[in-house]
Amino acid sequence: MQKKTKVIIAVVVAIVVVLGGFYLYASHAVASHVPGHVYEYTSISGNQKAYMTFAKSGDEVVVTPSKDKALKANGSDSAFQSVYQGEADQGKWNYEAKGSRLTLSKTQDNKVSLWQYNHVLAFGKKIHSSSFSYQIANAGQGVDRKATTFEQIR
Amino acid sequence: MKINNKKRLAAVLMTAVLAGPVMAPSVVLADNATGSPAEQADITNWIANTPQQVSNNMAMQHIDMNNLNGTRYIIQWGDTLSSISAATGISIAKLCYDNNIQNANLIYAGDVLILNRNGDVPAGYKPNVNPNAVAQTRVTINNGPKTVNIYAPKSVKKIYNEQVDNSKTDDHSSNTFAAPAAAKESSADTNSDSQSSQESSSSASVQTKTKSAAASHGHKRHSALLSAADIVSGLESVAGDSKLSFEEGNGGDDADSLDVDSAAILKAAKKGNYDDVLSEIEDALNGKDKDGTTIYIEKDGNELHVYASHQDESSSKDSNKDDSDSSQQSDDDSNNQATNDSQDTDTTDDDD
Repeated sequence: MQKKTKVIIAVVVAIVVVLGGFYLYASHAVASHVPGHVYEYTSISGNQKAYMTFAKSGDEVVVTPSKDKALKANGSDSAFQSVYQGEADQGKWNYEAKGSRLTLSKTQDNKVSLWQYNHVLAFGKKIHSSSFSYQIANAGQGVDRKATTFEQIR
Repeated sequence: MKINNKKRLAAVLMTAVLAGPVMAPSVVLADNATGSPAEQADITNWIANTPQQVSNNMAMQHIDMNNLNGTRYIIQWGDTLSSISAATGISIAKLCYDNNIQNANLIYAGDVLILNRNGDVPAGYKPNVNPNAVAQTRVTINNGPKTVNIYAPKSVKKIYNEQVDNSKTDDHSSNTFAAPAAAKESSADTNSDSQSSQESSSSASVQTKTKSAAASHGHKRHSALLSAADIVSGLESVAGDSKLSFEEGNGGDDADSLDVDSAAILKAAKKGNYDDVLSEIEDALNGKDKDGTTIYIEKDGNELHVYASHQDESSSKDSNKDDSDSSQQSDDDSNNQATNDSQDTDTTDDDD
């Protein structure tokens, strides 16, 4: 085998290893990325935004259309609890980030609705998901292969 | 001539360009209340709107906040009675009273809500509502997959598991993840024809049978559970030159009941074979003059009643009826959600 061929193979292998490693990291990083941060979520239609403040510890998350509230909740643990409890009458939100999925739940009137973002890649300040599953109380359930993005704003 | 045509074309294009921005908001709002299953299921639709967002939605609908006197507002995703109340200054009780919302938690995206600052709520009127429940949907969103693999967060696992277990063991609660309107119909198929929820939502005419295994995709849902309005609509689509006209209801005293095979008609209607339905009705007319004959369709639970009324016999009655129909039109729009709400309460109870 010529030296040139060996070099090409080595470069290709290196690229595959780097990309594979990056993918492996990004697809398992969501759990370490979200706690203690505020993310801006843009709806599939693109005309709505939601803000999510993930608790530094525990599985609580403030989900609100108000950016100010989301940022306020990120101020301190007590500020988080204050906002979280203040919003509780509109449903309590929790989350689970594990592997390559991020699940958000809303509990209201003793009924749970769930949105699970699948094949999540977390890198830098962005979290990208290529599909989401949902089970919404009194509304429906299913899987939609629509990409969604969360952007860390703090 | 060519110049004239060019001028006309230019005028049309200019009108479209100028009118486009004015027309766009209404179109956007209509889409907001319906949209694709993915858009409907989007998490942002299930987060309570702030009063400011509600105000913005009202501005998009060209609602004058200083003059709310029977104003019609199309409920948007994420709206709650609480946020609408805060945005308009109309109390939750007044909103419920004016819109006949009782004993239910739900308002529906796409429905019309009457906003009226004038008038009072009777003493002792206390609607049993959760004002913080976001607007729901009348149509099950993409109820295709039998099972959806979702891992619930630990702290809600218990409630979630109970919810899912109940779905498996209790027939009535098998619709936990189905729209209340559809769930109610699938569990009891009770009378609700005249309420015609489809009037208020463009997509609601497609009522979904909520046995989740039944359908393979949300767009392929069949209207297995039909209302009288669906049948009237189906008949009108195939009536052609039959000279018959169709309406919901029993036609009043002047209408004669037709001897039809209710089960056969419903079966044919469910399959979409409205030619067969029409044929069955025409047979039941026994050669009577079709010209000027109105066929009335009434659904009572699983029974379908068909009545015929000839124009000559009932012209005076009809004119009165038309008057009352037109005067009740707005009432129907505002009340249909409330009448459905009362059903939803039952469903909710069942689910629990």
